Amino acid sequence: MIDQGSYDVFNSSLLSLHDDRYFALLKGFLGTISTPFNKHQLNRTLASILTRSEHQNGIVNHLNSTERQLLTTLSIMHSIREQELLYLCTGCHEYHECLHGALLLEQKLIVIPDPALSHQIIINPLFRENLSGIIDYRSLFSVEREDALRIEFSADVHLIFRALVSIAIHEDPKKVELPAQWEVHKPFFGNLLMHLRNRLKVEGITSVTETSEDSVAWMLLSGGFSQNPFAENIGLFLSALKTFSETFEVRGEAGSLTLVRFAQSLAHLKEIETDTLRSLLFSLSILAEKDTRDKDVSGTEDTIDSDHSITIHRGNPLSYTGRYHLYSRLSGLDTTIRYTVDKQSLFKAFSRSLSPQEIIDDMRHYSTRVPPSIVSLIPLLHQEYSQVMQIEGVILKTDARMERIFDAHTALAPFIVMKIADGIYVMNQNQEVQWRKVLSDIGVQHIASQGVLKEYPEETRTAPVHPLPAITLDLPYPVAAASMKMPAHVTDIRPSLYESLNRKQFSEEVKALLRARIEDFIIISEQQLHATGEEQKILSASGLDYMKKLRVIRAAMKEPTFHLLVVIFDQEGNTQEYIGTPLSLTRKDEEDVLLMKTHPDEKEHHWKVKSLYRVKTVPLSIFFVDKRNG
Amino acid sequence: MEHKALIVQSDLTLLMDVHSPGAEDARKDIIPFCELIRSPEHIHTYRISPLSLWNAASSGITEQDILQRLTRHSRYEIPQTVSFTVQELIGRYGAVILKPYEDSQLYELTFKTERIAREVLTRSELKGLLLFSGGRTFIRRYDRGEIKIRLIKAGYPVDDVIPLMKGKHVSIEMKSQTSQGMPLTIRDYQKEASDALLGDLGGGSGYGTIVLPCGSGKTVVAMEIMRRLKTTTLILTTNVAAVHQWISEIDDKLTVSSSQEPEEAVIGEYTGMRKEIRDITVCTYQVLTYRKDKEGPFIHLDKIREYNWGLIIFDEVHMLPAPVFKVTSEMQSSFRVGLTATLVREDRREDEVFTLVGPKRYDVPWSELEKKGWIAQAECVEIRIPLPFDAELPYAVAGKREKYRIASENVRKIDIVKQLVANHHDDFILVIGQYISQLKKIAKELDAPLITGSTTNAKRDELYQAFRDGKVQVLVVSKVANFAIDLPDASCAIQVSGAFGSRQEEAQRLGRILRPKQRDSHFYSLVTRFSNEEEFAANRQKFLSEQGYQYRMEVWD
Repeated sequence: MIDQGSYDVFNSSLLSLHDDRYFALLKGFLGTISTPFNKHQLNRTLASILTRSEHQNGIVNHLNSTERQLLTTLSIMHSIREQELLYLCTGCHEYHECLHGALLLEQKLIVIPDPALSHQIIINPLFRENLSGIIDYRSLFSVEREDALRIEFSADVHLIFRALVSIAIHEDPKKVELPAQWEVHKPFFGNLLMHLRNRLKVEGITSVTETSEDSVAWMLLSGGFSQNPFAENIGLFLSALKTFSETFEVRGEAGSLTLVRFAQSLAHLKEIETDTLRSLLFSLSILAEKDTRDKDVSGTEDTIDSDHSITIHRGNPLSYTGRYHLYSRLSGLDTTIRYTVDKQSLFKAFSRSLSPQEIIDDMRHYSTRVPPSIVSLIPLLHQEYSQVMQIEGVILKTDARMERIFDAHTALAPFIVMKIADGIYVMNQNQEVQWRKVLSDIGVQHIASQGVLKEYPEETRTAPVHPLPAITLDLPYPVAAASMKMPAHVTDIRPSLYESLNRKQFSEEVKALLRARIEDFIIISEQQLHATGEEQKILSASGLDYMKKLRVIRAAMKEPTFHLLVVIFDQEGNTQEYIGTPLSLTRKDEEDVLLMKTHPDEKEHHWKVKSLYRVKTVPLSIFFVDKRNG
Repeated sequence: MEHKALIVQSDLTLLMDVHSPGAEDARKDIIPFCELIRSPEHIHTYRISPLSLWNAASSGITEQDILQRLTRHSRYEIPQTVSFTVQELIGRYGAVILKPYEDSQLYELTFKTERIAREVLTRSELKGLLLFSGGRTFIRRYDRGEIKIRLIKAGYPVDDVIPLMKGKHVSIEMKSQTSQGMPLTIRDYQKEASDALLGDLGGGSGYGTIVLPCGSGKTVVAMEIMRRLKTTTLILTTNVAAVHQWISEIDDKLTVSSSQEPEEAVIGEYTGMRKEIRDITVCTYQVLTYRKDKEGPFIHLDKIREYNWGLIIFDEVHMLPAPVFKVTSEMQSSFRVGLTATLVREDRREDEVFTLVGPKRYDVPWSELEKKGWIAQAECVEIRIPLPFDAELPYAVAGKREKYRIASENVRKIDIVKQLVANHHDDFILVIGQYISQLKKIAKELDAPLITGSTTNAKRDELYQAFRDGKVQVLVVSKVANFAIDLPDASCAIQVSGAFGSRQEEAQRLGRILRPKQRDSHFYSLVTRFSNEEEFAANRQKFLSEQGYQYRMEVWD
């Protein structure tokens, strides 16, 4: 009994095909179609063949790993252009394998055109139930060894935010040295630091304690790409990344690449190369490997050591709320994140209105091991910091020692307009550079500005909360269904089909074609053994047959449903395969030269025809005239 | 949940949580292939470097050993870059081999592959060192050290399979008790250190540097090595007082004899005062590098290297003067021991020192020995003192160096010193400083003897001995007492000034009071408040704070 809803979709899909394509397809399954005919009736007949259990089992049981992956991908995306499907699957399989797999799925009618969306494909609903055993989401995202670490979304992004803010506060923008892992993304991090510095200046943002990890991740990634036109897609991208990583168990490098590629696809964010984006996401800890061997890091305490270094352990939630980045400078970013507290970093913290007690309290908040030396040092440094304060405009306030020096130092006297109270001086507004120089010479390198950040109350010094746009995944198969529900014993049907084919009175050319279809499990019953005579012939030439190579290339250029596969030898004598669209064949310096745009990298190559070891036409789709453009 | 001790980072540093139960085991496992960089109170940092890996490879440690040990102790997954780098670097060891040759004046260089031979032989920095004959490559015997340095800098560690030569046999035994009747036993770490250096006495062992804190008995480690090798030994040290101290220690702890000579004729002193070359000779670096004029020959060095030394001990190896590098380079066939507490060299020639003398074979955090009671517990206090009012303005308008001098010589320090001396009336106290005029004032105020560079060696020996004998309770000393002076009962040091930001000086000065004793030791550093002396002091303290020492800050108005 065919489910009516499923049939309706199937029927509409077939009816959407161009007549040429429609009849070529039907003939493959039903043999010669005599007139008069009724498309609805033909579709019904075809549906009844396809839904026979022996037919479906035969096909489904012989799907190869590429086909299974294509179907798994399609089950997540529901409806998609084939080019997009190939893009999503190319990480785990070679492009030409995916291209071939997609063609096989079309020929077996497991995928069909989406009747609702032009040039997109869907899983044939007539197969939906039988595919539940081969849809394996884990195979997409956990293709590596079993013990590969799980990838998580925005695990330690708070820590990276702090590291960046520490650089923005404590390092000279002109001399800043990025941690080695960030050096490879220098322009991105340069842009991000500039963005953070601006926000520090304008909003005073130093803390994201209350802000969700999602928002911090968004702030960081969009901050680094803020100058790019695609920046507005970042939110959607991160949302997709989060949804996928939470829904599926993503493991290993290949799994994370697939994850990023899926999120890019959903967010229409393909301007950035996937590898680069993946590496960036790990650098920002938006993606991170979770060490399952020792997942409980709650007992691993962050440490402030006697050499005034701070060691922050990733995964320790207490570190997410610390303010160590305000009073220490980043000294290492690796498995742990390390900071150093020194006089300059403490002065910067004092200038952001942090009192000695607040700093000591903060240290005690995330570490029970605060060295007494640092506890005694901080107040002493604060006294030094406050020895000369700029309280307003050019009014300076000094401590008693400095007051004695101000009063006695003849080089400073010309710049003092008035002493208005004990230790309070009005300095000459027009000679600020000169009196600052005199102060610097006497050892006052830093004049504290009292209340420089007072205009930003603490609560506004947090990043605004921006929830990520919502994305939900409607998965037709359970995520946990990882094991294949294949019949215990599957008989190889091909030998009996080869025998039947040999008995047929077909030409050798037709027999070769049908043999190939048996080999690929497109033909799985005797009923399908028809000499259609209308199949597109696959052409190929290799070796010294130069003229045939030219014919194959020209055929591929002429026929929009063909790609061209070329095989060449590289410098080390290994064969390299390229697949793509032949653009031109020209003669230059007595040589025929092929210009071809290869897929999926979309690069143009010039090859002398004589250097091509093999050329072969590769059919693209049985549904669409030109899926490259359509 | 108990956490493993080690955190392996992708930049090849290893962080060790010393509070983890597995920390001690982890330390023993990793020390053969990495160096201790710093060891503050909680997290110690070790580093795997090309040199440390090649040294490990030279003692037969494989990449699998290293990765297994890391995996065993690592809290998290080991970053892939670490595995890759270890494999890559270890793989280079043995690519170039230095072998003996029938002509004893030459050694042969061989290469693992043709490609490596091509790469090495075309390097411009090796020009003049290589000799070619019959398609083979040779070096002169005395270029052995030099070629190793140049090749290691080029990234090709040489597998030197030429066995070390033992000198003439000398009977050396450890006494069972000292002359004062104290039982004499080798401590565990001293034995570990000598084992680590001597190994199986095969290729790749028998030379290296031992890093142990001041007061922990480095001399005893050296004597244990002498006992095990029983051979002619040259001991190089920093000054005459240290020479005398070595001789006295050898007398005290070793029984030395030679078949031809009576015992007193076996140990020689080679200094400005005496010129004896015996089977065991103690010599200063200074006399070794003496020459009449800038271009003249090193008179004493030439005499000394003519002797067939089986073992050379470089005391305070971080002080090794540059001219001694050459003689070290030539004496590659002797067993070599470098001893130091601080690996800091201002001229950044640590790598050369360790290539010539030998790699770091043993290092133990100071705090570790303190915890076990092998060195005294020391309380470090930085006392900040303001300048007197009348010095504030002169300080403010002075230049940078002058500022430092004014701050260092702050007269108010004298009162503080007096106060501290009074507070520590039961202690034996060293007052240590940089500026002679300041030290003279303090010595006068305290009515204590003063030792400076101009004090004769005989007078120095006399005063040190009086201090050791308890006849002098307070000794005021300049930088001449920074190194190699053993004053076992000193339990309090007051540092009134120092050589700018020298971390090594600070550590060595603390080292003067670290001999284990019945009482804790106290180290006071007097620093002028609101002056650049504070910054220099912070820098001086870096080495010690990295060793786990904490300075308590006090302000004395």
